[in-house]
Amino acid sequence: MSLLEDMATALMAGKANDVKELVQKAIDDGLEPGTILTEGLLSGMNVIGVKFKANEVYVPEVLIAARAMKAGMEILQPKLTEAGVEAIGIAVIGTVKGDLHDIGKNLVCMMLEGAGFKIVDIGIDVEPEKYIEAAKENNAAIIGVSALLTTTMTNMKAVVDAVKASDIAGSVKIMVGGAPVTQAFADEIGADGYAADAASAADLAKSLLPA
Amino acid sequence: MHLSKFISVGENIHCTRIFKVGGKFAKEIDGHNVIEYKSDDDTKHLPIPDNFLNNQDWEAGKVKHCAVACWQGTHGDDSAKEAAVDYLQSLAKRQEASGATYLDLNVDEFSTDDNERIDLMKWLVETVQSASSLPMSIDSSNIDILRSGLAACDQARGKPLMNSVSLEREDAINLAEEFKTTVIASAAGRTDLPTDTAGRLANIEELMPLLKNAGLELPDIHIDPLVYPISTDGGNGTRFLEAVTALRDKYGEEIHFAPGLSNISFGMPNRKLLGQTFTYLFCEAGGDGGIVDPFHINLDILNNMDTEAEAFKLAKAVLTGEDDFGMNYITASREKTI
Repeated sequence: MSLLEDMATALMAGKANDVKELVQKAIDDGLEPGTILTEGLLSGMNVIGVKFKANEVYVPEVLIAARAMKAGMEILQPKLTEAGVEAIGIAVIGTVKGDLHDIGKNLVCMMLEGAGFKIVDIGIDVEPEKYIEAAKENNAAIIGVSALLTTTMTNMKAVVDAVKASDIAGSVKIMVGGAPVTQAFADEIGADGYAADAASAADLAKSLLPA
Repeated sequence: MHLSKFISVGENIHCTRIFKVGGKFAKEIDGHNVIEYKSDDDTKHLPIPDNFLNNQDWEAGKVKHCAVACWQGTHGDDSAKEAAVDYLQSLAKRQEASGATYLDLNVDEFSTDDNERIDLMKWLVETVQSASSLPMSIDSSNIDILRSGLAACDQARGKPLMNSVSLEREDAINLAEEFKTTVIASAAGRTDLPTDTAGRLANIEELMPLLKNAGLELPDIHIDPLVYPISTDGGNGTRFLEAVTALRDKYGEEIHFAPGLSNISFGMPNRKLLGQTFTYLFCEAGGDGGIVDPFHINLDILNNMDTEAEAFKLAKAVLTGEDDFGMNYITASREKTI
């Protein structure tokens, strides 16, 4: 097995120390930082995402894989920056105003990070304006909005409306999710996308990026 | 441990509850998609309407069975209506027979139309009450749906339970006074959800005088200290159990508990075992009731738990943070040894 395949395998098993060592070895061997990222770390996270969607792995296994990826990234990130390799996109993610739930949102952040996004997590109970501010500040391509209650889900429309009325309308895509949210609701409020779970959210975010 | 009571808020009549399409309960019979169920020992069928056959749940292999019954009961033709009422009433009767103390009703995810859900909650309360002698627990994050349900409750069978009030939802406290209910008092704060014991205690302490002013006495109050999944943080079980003990110490024997115990197992395999084991640990810590599926969690099951069994030990280790990331538990579930 190649070094990068070993790295992906170690990541899937959540072996943070092994991932670190393999990343260092790959750098020492002269592999391109971008290749180490996509064919090592992200390729492992991708398999975790696919298995998670199919209910073959459980939440703690996603967590330890993400932790292993983070450990690898600590070593790799300076090299990526040096080589000018950027994240595939920047996503601003928060739970809607009036809603204090963060578990689902955190899982979505993790899966998007594992898909190669840079994440700006703006927390819970977020005012519509704050999504826009954060998106502008970070030049985000995606705004992700989470809601867990039928009473707060309606506040998603306020975010969509505010973005559409702002000067970043057209340059940022809005995706929504959370237990009571449906594709029909996303369509009704004019969101660009809906995902039913964290792994699908990562696929959706990638598909929403400009070609 | 021997328990003499467990206040069981039966959660089975929720519009969120799903069956797997093609499984034991949602199947195709003579070319028609139906929910199969038992009523008075007969096998019966509730037809699934077309609008449930092309939505995203169906595509994902799931069907919201209580939502189907609510839809058929309010929109279906006469025979579908009759089956829907029978379905919901049999769910009510079976929960009562399994030891439920209250029947929790939730229509929040039936639709996004407020008026429709307000009418539906009233219909559901009336439908369920005519089959069971138990008091209802009216569950909604929408104050108008709560009001509609509470107004339909029959006070003669005992005070209904309102699910829920908190610092975040002070407006619901007025409803408790108006409709003379008991309440589930959640530890949610105004701006965040506490995860440690101190935060939970502080919020409940601040909420108590507001409840008292609304005429609620300690036995009318069922605390929900908030349950978070063990899958995302191995300390979530222990911190919850600590808070339960601290709350019991502080408020004495008269107050009750009603946490949503199934939250603990989100994202994990073999959820039933985790839920049963967690409920057992919760009762040991001073808990006396919760929002549960009464078929799987009841006095009989709790009093007959085999605490020496490997399954119990593995589940307990996850829930008390001793099985790092639940890996032993997940492995055992995968290998089907528990």
